Amino acid sequence: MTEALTPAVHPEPIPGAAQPARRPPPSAFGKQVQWWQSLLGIVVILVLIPFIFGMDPAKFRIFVGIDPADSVFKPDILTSIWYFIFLGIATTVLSAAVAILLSLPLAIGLALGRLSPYGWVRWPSILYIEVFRALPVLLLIFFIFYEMPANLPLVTLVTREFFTVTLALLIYTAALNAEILRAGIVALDKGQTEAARALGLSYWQTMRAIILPQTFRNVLPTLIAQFTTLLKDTSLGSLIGMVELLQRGRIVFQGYKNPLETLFVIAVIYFILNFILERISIAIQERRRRHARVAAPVAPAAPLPEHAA
Amino acid sequence: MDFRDQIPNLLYQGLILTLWLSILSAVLSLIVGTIVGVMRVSPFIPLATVAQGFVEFFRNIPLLITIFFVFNGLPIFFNRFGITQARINWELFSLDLGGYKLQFLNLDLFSFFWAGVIALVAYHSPYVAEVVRAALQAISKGQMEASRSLGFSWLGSMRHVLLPQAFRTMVPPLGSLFSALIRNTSLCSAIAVPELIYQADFIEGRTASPTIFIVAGALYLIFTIPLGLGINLLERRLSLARIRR
Repeated sequence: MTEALTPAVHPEPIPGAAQPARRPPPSAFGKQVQWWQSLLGIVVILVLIPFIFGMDPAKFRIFVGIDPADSVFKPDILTSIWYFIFLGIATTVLSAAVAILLSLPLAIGLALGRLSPYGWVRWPSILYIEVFRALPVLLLIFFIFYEMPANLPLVTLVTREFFTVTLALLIYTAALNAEILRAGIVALDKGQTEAARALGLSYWQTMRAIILPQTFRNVLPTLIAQFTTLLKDTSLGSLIGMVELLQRGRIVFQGYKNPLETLFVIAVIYFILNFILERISIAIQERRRRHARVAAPVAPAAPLPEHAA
Repeated sequence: MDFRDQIPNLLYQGLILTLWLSILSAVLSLIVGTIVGVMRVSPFIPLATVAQGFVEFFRNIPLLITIFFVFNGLPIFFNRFGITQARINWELFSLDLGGYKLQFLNLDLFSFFWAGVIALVAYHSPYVAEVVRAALQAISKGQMEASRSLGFSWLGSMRHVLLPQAFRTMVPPLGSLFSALIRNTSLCSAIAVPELIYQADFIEGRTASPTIFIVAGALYLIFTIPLGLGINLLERRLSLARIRR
């Protein structure tokens, strides 16, 4: 009798029966923007900006291969300018990818350190995370650039500027990734650790085999969002002369005297890179949500922008 | 006069300028971000679409590009309307702070300082707009229906009923956003706004000793770490208040 009266908080799914999608609580502004709508909005903005700043269409001609000197289409101009820009994209993506991949071991150490019961492990981790989260990346870049010994063995492989920017981003993003991973570890069910320890696994075995794989699976969208942040942050390298995407754009507009138009094109390239990654991150989250039936392990919400540029 | 005696003075001026950049762009991006966030949830679809495009575009391009773009584009923009440098006397806007007269506003009409502020606002207001939108969407439908049936217009119920409720939940995310904004003002040194990093770089050039960057970093930490701690406290207070209610 009482069973019929009190509704179950989490009703068990009936095998084979279609499950109703879990609806969010009714909101005053429930409808989500469709992807085509946001694409349309972006197109409107991309038309509005050149219009507002009165850009000269003639100054865009270099990007479709028309020689500004004699207004003739020349294929080699088209290929050479886009090859020049493509090398910048490659440098930018490589720097960001190296920084985030190499930061992960450090971030795991810091996240576990911050959750550690031992004060001599916990406090240095907290200090590292809080200090490097609160410092501007530009300061790190300048400091490393001026402090670096003149002939590091590594620096002969990559340029001095590339090394500086990648190291600064690595140090900075390790602190942020540590916070992301910590949130992921805390969000996991405590029973996971307890069960693993009860089965006789040691602390490190538990972490390696049980906790970290699940954590990485849950925080992957957030890590992708962090990667887009790093892609934007590599543009700071242009201030110390790293020849990446923005710096190549600046070289182009100094040659062709079209700063606004070139910066606009470079901005659109950055936008496309980040927009694709953002959509991938959202798609992963959506798929998880659809596949998760009941009481899914919820991935921690994406952290707010804690980044430099 | 020895250059070393001038270092505290230079750092002080840089710090004041960093604070002004932060405060002005924080206030302006809060205003612009709220407007864009409200536009984004408005029932008028073209408005929502444009707001969405603004948010998506400016969130996904580097701040440095925005800064360079505004820096190069503002004079062109004003010249289109025939506004030249002679029209406005920026002397009126300069600040006298305890003996240090800030000269940044009368460099010329499209001074680097304002280019920096505009770029910072353009970069951060999309994030504010997203926070506003999320906070508004978390409010129950009944609030809007009730205020509309009481005779408020859509904008009126937004202003008097929904936004005041939304601002409560917005405080913690906005705090971390403004902490990021303080750090991001350092990029204005790229367009020769003499703020903290610019002064530190200048001093480093004269003294050839990178320790000045450690001092500058400590000065940033003085502002960003208490902000973070304050936000944590406020978050705890607000969530407690909600449980008691």
